[in-house]
Amino acid sequence: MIELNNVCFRYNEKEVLKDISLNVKEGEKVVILGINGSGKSTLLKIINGLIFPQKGKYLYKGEEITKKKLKESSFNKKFRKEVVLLFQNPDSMLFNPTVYDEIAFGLRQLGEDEKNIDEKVKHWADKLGIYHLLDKEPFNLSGGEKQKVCLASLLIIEPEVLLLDEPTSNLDPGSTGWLIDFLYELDKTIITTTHNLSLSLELGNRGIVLSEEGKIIYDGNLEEFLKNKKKLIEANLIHTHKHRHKNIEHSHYHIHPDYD
Amino acid sequence: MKDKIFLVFYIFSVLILTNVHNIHFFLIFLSILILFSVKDFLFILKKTVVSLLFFNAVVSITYVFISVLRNEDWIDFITLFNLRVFSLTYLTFFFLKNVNLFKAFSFSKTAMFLLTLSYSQINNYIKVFNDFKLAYRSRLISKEKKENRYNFIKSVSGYFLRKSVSSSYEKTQALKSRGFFND
Repeated sequence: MIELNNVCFRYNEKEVLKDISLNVKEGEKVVILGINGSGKSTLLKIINGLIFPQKGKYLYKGEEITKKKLKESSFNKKFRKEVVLLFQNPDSMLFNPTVYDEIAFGLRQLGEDEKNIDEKVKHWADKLGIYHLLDKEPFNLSGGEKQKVCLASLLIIEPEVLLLDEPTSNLDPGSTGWLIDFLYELDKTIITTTHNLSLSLELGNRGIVLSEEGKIIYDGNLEEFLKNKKKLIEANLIHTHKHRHKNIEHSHYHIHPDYD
Repeated sequence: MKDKIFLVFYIFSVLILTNVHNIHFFLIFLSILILFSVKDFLFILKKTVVSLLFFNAVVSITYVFISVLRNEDWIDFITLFNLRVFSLTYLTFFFLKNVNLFKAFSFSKTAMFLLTLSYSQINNYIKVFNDFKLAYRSRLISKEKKENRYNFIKSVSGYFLRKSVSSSYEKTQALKSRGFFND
């Protein structure tokens, strides 16, 4: 469904992604792990056709995604309906006057009639627990509520691929738990980025790990990766530090989290 | 020290460029400036032209139009105006390319404070603004409607206004906590 072949991307002088090749099948739940600055968000933006690799190819359902291809309005419409991205900062996605309009935005563009839109908006608002916010202005909401509004406005158009950029980074523990349960039940292809190891297993079963230099250093079973201390250190996802116990006067090197 | 000398040169040049009204002077000044910046000439030229094109074109065309209607001479004024704005802008980009602003303004705590505040705000905002544009593009399924664009512009402006106020307050507090000022 999603295929990247030797993709490279650079911002000005800095090479962010190096020689990325991966293949995501329909229905897979993939977690992209990597520290801040490893190119996770850039990778999602490429998959969403917002930026384009300087080298290599990106194919969606066998079609190469290029700037030129997305200029074709029929293809652009199909692609934008099928592949959606939840940005890390929900504020960047919200621009409509009310939560209702925000959720209805996608369907209105697709030309659905207002009666259908009304039904679907209420259905998704109810499902995400934001029904009571429908008349509110999006910018006045809390981080968790904004995240839910963004999710509702993406899910209402029934996309096939959901790209989630650090979806839990702005959430409190309660909302994080809710989101994990919600995503678990969604029957879609989901690619999620995170640097949170303890949550990663809840978000998918396949892990793609990016090194600090933007290279794939692991692609496979996520649980296996989390047991591989050497790989975890290579990705800079865990660290060692001196550790002191209450009254015991010794210190030793400690690794978080300990999966062994 | 080099940065401070450059800053003095820049301020002095700006004063001269805004007070001299001689086309030959501007041509000589620009030639010397280009000679000094020959390594980055294309980069600075591109930035200068992009920044000025709209503003200079509107002012020049309007001025020429009114002058022709009044049957007045316009060539000298338009040449001088364009040369002046071009020189000032080119000089500014040349200055920014070659000077570490933080070192240049290190003589004054207030100047450093303002610079730090502006610099971090600008960098943050560029990043956030790019995300706004990408998010908007990502959610556009069909052809963009005027109403959507107005809503987008309104929302982005509102976001930055609110963000400016709260982030300036935060940064002021951070600088205060680090001993930049105490009032």
